[in-house]
Amino acid sequence: MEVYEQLDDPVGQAECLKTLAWTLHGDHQLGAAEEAVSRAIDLLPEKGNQLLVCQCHRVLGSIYRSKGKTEKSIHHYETALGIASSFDWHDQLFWIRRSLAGLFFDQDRFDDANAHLRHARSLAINNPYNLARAMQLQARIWDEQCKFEQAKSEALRAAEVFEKHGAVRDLRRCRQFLERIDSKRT
Amino acid sequence: MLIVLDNAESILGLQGTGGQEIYAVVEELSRFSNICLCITSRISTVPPDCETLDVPTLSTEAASDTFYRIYKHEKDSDPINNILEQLDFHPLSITLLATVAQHNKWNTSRLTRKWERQRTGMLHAQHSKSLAATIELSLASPTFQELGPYARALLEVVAFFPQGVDENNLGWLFPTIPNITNIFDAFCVHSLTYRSNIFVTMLAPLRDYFCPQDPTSSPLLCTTRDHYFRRLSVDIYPDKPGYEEARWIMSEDTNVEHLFNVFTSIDTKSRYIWDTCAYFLQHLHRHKPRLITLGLGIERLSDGHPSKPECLYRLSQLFGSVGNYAERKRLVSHALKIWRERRDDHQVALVLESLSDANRMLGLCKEGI
Repeated sequence: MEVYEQLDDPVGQAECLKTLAWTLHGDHQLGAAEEAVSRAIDLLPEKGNQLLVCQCHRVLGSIYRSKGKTEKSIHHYETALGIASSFDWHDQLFWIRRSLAGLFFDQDRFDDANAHLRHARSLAINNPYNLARAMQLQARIWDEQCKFEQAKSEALRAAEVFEKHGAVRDLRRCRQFLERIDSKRT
Repeated sequence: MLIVLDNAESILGLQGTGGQEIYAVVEELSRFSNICLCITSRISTVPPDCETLDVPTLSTEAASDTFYRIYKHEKDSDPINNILEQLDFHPLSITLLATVAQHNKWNTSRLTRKWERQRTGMLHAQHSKSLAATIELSLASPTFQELGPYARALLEVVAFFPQGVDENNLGWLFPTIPNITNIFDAFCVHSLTYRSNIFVTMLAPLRDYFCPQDPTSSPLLCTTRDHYFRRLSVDIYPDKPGYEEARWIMSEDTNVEHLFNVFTSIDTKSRYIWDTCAYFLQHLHRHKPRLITLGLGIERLSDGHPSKPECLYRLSQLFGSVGNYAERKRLVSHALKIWRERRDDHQVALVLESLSDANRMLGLCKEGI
């Protein structure tokens, strides 16, 4: 942030604030995260930088999801979705759809979650890691729906991709999930 | 009456009056109701009344049978099948391989070692029977010669690329070669190449034969490389022009990666090549995130190499997009160290932000802040 301030680069500062917001969100400092991302949006010029604007709305969607403010969360995810759709950004679209699927999953709205996840999967054809992340969430949904065999098989497929790519954190989560499924069944 | 014209390309491919007369005779023969005419040919220009059947490459089982019909020393299917697969189950190559191994009384392990060392160079049996002789016979034919001076060099380029050449790219890959589409059509007519989806490619034995031992010795290949490099040398931002156009990398990534693997191993320090490599990594990160084999070459560059920090940073992005955040952090930290030493504030800021994000993804939020 300091370097970008010295360089008088508001877009660079906004980029840093967006990353800071994600990190604060990860650290459960939701108020500070919201403030950081709002500052990022304020710093951006009115025109251009649509990717950053889109990403900021996605962060806001996730912050409000964590705060339990579903309506606001959906509003920001949908704003992000609108921007990403107009540019056909597969990667952004994937993560927004996956986030929406996660949000609906949290509320046991499995049909809505599955619909977004189907969209997400179709956007990850050329990206095995993203596809595996979608599979990981799919496994959790199926587990909640007591479709244990399907859930296990999906999680195993995801774990295989994570292992191949060295995605250690995802692999660990996947294995923990598999252990939980196995312990439920025994 | 049954008439068989075997290897008919040698007569049907002839040019001039003689060729026309032979073709007319064959055409007339094909119209007799009491004559059954069977033509085997590598070229597809047979009389129109003939029913044409494309002969596919052999199945694994048929290839194995063909091999062991000639080779009688021992039966060890796995290593042999592995070689046969590498030969794309090409019947002539299999026959030659089995003949050479049988004549020399090689056991499977010796044959495997020979194959690993010499590959298609070993497909040379006695009495001038060899893959090279067969291919050169095709290349010496008048119809091939008529394709012009670039034909052989073009085959070398097709052979070099693992995916072959995308037919839609002929215009920008070979802008100075006239009638390029016709030449590529002729390659397929002569069965020197075949179409696989959008690519024109070759069977493995032919690829092995045509692929230049020293890629820098092929001016056309070097020109093709430069065309690829020029196309790659653009920064890609999702919200800026050029993003959509860069999607071409999604179908050509294997070819481009091979290009870099080969040319970075020939010239390990070229700034031109490594700068372009950083653009390639950017293309992959944006449009087809996946792991690549170029990492070792990048890390072997000295920290003083002008392209190193950019390559490290782009490679770190690629690792990030496949979920390997530990590697992303390690690489971006290395890039940060170099850019700090170079006092490049803008790049330092860029990678610091990336490092913070890598920490977050590793669950190290405090460190990330």
